[in-house]
Amino acid sequence: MTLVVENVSMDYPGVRALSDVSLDLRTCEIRAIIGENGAGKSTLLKILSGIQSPTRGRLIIDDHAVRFAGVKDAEHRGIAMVHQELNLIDTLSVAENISLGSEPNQLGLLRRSRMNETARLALKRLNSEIPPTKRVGELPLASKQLVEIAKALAQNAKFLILDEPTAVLAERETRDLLDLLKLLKQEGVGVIYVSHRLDEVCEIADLVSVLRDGELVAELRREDGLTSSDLANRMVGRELQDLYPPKLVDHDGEPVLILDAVRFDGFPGPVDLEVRAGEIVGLGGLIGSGRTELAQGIIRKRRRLSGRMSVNAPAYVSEDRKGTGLHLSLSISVNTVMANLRHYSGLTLDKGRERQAANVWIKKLGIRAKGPGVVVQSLSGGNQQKVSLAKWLETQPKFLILDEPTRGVDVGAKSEIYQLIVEMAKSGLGCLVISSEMNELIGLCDRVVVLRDRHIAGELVGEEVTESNMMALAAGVGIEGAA
Amino acid sequence: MKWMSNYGVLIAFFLLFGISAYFQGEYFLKPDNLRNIVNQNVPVGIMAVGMTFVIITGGIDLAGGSLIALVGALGLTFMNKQISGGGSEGMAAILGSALIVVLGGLAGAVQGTLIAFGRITPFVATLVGMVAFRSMTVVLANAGEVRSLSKDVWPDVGIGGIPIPFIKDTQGNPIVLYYGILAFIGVILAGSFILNKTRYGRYAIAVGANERASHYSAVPVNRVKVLTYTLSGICVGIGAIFLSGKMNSVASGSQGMNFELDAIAAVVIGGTSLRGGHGRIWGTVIGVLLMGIITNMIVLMGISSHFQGAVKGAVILLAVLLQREQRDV
Amino acid sequence: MLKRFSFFACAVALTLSLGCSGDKAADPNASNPTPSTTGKKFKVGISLPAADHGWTAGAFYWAQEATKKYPDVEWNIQTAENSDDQIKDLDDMATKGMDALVILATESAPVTPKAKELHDKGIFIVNVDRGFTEDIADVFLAGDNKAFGTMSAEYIVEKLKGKGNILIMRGIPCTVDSDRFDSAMAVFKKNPGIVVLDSQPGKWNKETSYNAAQSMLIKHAKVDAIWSSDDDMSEGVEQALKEANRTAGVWMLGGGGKKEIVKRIMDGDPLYPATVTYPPSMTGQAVDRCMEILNSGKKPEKHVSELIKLDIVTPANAKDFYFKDSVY
Repeated sequence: MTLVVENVSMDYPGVRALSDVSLDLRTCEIRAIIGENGAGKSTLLKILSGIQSPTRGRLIIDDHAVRFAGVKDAEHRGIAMVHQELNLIDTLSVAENISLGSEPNQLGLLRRSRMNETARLALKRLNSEIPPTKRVGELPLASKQLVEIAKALAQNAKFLILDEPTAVLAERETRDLLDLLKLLKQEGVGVIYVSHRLDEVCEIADLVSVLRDGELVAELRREDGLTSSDLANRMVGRELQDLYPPKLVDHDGEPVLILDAVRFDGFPGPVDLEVRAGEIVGLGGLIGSGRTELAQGIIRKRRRLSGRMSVNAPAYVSEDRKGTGLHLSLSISVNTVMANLRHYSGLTLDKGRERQAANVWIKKLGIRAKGPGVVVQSLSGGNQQKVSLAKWLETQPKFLILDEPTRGVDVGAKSEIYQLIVEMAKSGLGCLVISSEMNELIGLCDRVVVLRDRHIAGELVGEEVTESNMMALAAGVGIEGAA
Repeated sequence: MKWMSNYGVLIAFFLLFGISAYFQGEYFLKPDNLRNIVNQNVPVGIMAVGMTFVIITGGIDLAGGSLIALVGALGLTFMNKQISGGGSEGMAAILGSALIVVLGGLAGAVQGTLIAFGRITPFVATLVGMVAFRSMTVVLANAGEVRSLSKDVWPDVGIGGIPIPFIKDTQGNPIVLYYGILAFIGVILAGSFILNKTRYGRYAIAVGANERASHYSAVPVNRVKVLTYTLSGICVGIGAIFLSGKMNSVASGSQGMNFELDAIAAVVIGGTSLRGGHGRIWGTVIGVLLMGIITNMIVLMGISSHFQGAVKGAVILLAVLLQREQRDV
Repeated sequence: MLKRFSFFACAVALTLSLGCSGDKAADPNASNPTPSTTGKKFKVGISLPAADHGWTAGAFYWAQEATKKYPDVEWNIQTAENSDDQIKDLDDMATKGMDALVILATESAPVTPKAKELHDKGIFIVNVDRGFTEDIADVFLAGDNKAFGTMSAEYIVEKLKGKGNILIMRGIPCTVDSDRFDSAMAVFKKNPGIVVLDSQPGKWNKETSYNAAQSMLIKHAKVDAIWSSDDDMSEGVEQALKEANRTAGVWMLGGGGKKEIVKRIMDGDPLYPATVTYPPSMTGQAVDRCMEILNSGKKPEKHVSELIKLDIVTPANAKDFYFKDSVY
């Protein structure tokens, strides 16, 4: 089966999101689509998955021009999409989710046994042992993703679109997923893979399409050799400086965080940890190793059970922008002053000063938006992250926890955020960076503390901070030379 | 389209006003008729201002209709005790009004506490209030009514007011702007001020937009919720003063019945999102007036008022359709 | 919502008309049979609609008052919001082994089968005001809504000397309302001098009547009389009249016999020259009838139906209808 995108353009009021893009997609092939945020990836995905129809151009399946009536229609024609925010219903079972919308039934009565069987088979194809009767809400994220993929396959998808599937996965889970995608390719599925993680793209893609400003700027084949730096340069359209700024050397600042044999509710620990002003400390570990729980403990959103904790003016930039991080439906200025509203209001609010403050941050952090009144929802991931950062810097913290600071952020913005983190550290802020991207920890941090099963598995300093050392600690294999 | 969703309710209002003026202008545009439309909706209107805050935080308050009867009945009982004990009517009215407002606020605070700290959903907590407050009123009045013993002062709260010399009513006397209307205007101004100019107002919006993010941003979420329902209760209390004043009594079984639904309808017509995080007081006021005009027109046009529900339903639907947000897929 | 009001009926001083064994009847205070002295203990259930406005509150009050006269009987009084609740109440009462039931039906049709079932089990049933759809009660004390309409309309025609403009305040749509309204309109139609300007529902409560009356008064500059089918509604209309400064030269005729209105009639208030009684004390009447028969041990052989007579209350007779302690 072939799926051809022919001269597709998409116009939104005032913006051309896609301009004359043509792609030739095939089954038995992994096609990566990369580009910075705003390059038109999501628009392209929306068109492919039937959410939107293009303004101009057409889609051709096996030599027949088609026009999708909606997501269902696209699915019927064999094109299914796994969204970044998974579309699963937590309160239903795995099997119920997999057959949602196409439940096997007899005269309107559910045939549960057949439903479970379908689910079991679909999951088996993915080498997964998830029990079909389990409630989705009880599954870890990586398993949920598998369920979503199984759901697509159960509907006989010939093309599987994955939007940033590894953004929420830890290293090992990412490995498993990549292996799975290769397997699906061999079984005859066409995989359309969108990711910011260029090393993954280099590893699995047969063909890479690079979008920039709504245009297709390059199409690279595996045979011609793929490298992350080449891809990054093509995405950004300029020679990318080293992604990470040079590290600081000098940190004899005052300690801003001291944990002394601390145990938190949900994080048995005990943890000993010190972060000094001006220092960037990494916090690594697999998903579920307790990184977020530890952070929540430090900012007192979790009960401390024992031990001594001293922390100086902490702030927490959440990994979950939609949930705990930002008020997406409110404006930049409202978000910017949200955590520090007392300083912007006496008896009454002072909206003028709020806007001024927001403008300062917009300038300082390079937030790309028309003005402080713009609703945060309409910003790209990178800019949202900067607003989140602004909100917490506004509180003048001494100690900053950055939980997955570059999740869902494109390469260009990533580099800017790294730059900002280093600058903040320079100005005397102690930073704790939580990340699933090992490269990020290696590139950014002076020291990395690795967690495993809600304990500290070890700490790596300077030269010790390598991918293999971190992996070994996270997975529980002893290494030499690490504390 | 964005413009439509912001100002659709104004268009609907002016459209309805225009239609009314065109078909029944002779009666509809009379100053006393326009004044009456506002005055009839004073209790619901004041309640709706409080409801706007509740809905902005993503909650709902179903207890208002019962609470307006309960605090009214308690207030009248108190005043009657004062008066029959030889106290002056004026003093009784002042103390009674204060008591009514305080009790309203207290009842709201209790509900807010159940919601914020007891982790009971607003729907259930206020449903409990709706049922319990009504029952308490019926018990208090032995299923009948509580009549005020006040001969002059309390009835005057209902129909007294400030005469406006330039505008004449049907009899040619200067038209009287009732105290209830003045209070309604005061509540509207205070409500707009609180929502737009105070930290609490901002926090109410934040809690409704994203409760978890608010919690993480050091917004005192629970206190904001308690305050919101307290505010709603206070509004109910203010409404109760004028409702019980106008009737000079509280009918335990029926007074205020379904007021909360009218208030919710007004808030929704006014463009406040039931999902929370966004709302406006002026929209609510337009919503209240819109529904008042419908009721008035049905009588003036001599249409069987059995149609009233259908017409109101259609208007609510229209208003919500006009303002519905673009759905993200 | 409608259901709850639909039982509302009307009538006046309870004179039990036909068929009783030479009974006294007359007003509720006078009509007490001597309390039982036999020492025999009965269990009697009373099922009424919930008290959601003055009249129903009165119905409950009078039933409760009547039970106090029979201390050796085990009483069980329940009120129901709707017919579903009432059926549940009746079932519960049957389970507790009641000897007799006094029922004012929330609605006729849905409650009838349950009453029939219980009657077939041998429970003695007194039905008051609102009748069942079949003659299953042992005794039925019927309210007469058509007579209410006719009597009140005739009073208005007479007082206006056959000429004048009137406004009408209706209740909530139901048989009670249409019986009263239709029979009143029949009288008005026979008198061409009477102009019915407008009619609007006041839903049997003050607030709605007040709102509707206010708008009607704007539209109709010359009104001589206002007929409302309930005294509560008259009070709402009165408020509208006051606000419009229109209390002079107009009067109202309500119904039900609310004590505050009866007092105003007694005091000669020109706004309230009269009211038609449809007294809630008929429930007390029913309790008394029930106990009388139980104590005598002689149940009627056949269904007995007795129409409750209505009266016009005027300043002349108002003191006979004024009960200071009643809630209505």
